[in-house]
Amino acid sequence: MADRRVLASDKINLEKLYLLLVDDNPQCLEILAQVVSGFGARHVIKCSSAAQARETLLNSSIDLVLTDVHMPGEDGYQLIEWIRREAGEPNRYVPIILISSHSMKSRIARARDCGASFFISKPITPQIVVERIFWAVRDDRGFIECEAYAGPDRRFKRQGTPPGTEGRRSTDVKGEIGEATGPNLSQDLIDNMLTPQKASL
Amino acid sequence: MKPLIIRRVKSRLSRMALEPGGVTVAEGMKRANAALAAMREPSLAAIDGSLAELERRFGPAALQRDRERFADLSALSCKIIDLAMFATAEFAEAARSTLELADECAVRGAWDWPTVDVHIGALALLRSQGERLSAEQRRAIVDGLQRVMQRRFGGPDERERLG
Repeated sequence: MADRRVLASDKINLEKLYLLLVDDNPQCLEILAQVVSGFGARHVIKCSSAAQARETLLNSSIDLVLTDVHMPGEDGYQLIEWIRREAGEPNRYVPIILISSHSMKSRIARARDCGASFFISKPITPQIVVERIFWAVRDDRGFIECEAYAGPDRRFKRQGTPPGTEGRRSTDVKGEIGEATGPNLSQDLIDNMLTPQKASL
Repeated sequence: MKPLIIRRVKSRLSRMALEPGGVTVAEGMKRANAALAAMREPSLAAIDGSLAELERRFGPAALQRDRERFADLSALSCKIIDLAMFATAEFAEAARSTLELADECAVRGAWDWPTVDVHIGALALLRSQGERLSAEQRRAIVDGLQRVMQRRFGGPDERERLG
């Protein structure tokens, strides 16, 4: 994952991009539209339901989706699952930012598992929205597709496969980390490695 | 079993958002905040409407509050959180705590009215007094809500397990 910091001097160009905003609350939809317009977005499509968003996604190419979770009928999770599986090319790979009032770990895990790229916990602010857009811009994770999941790679760090498992990717690190073969380093030795030393020539 | 496929897809967003032109984050924030300023008063009025409904349906004086649905307290809390960017940060936190409370009651299948009353009182105080309270006073109210939630339902990790 690329650097997540966003600086005040960083530039973003949303002028030619098509953004889809989905929320059943018209005030929230307008707030979100004002925020992205502030950052230069000109093509902003607003939908008040998941069904309307689906219709749009079947007929237009979208570059970024920001969707609320809680909507009557089909919710944001279901919409994202549909996008990842059935929206067709290229929309199924579109970066998606899911917005929710809940910030409990289990809800964030649900967002990750439905295929959202990033998550915003409400209330939204311009700062948070632009930060997440930058994360989506810099996101270089692969798109995973298997029986149980379709969406961005849920692992941000490559830490190898869990112990005792083979791993399914050719890039997975193979082998176990074994027991230490030598004694642990003493604290003095570690300190000496970290402390700048005067060189004697 | 369907094989696992990994695709390397560079989105149009990644390709085009960093092209020359556009706006700096600082300029964008300024423009977004200016546009949002016009929405502040109507949003605060909508929050006050939701708070009044909260008090009327779930407050101590509500005669039939036992018949209310957990999902409705949850939905009202969400409506408040939606617009809470226009109030203080502590008000937003209190609204989030109310949403968590609604979830906890739903998981347990029973209302915890003393905790609901404390939340409604805290929201009303934070909204009516807002900036007139010092940051420390506002913080103390939110910390109080967190302590009540912890005492009634356990810490966040314990609540996650039950939820």
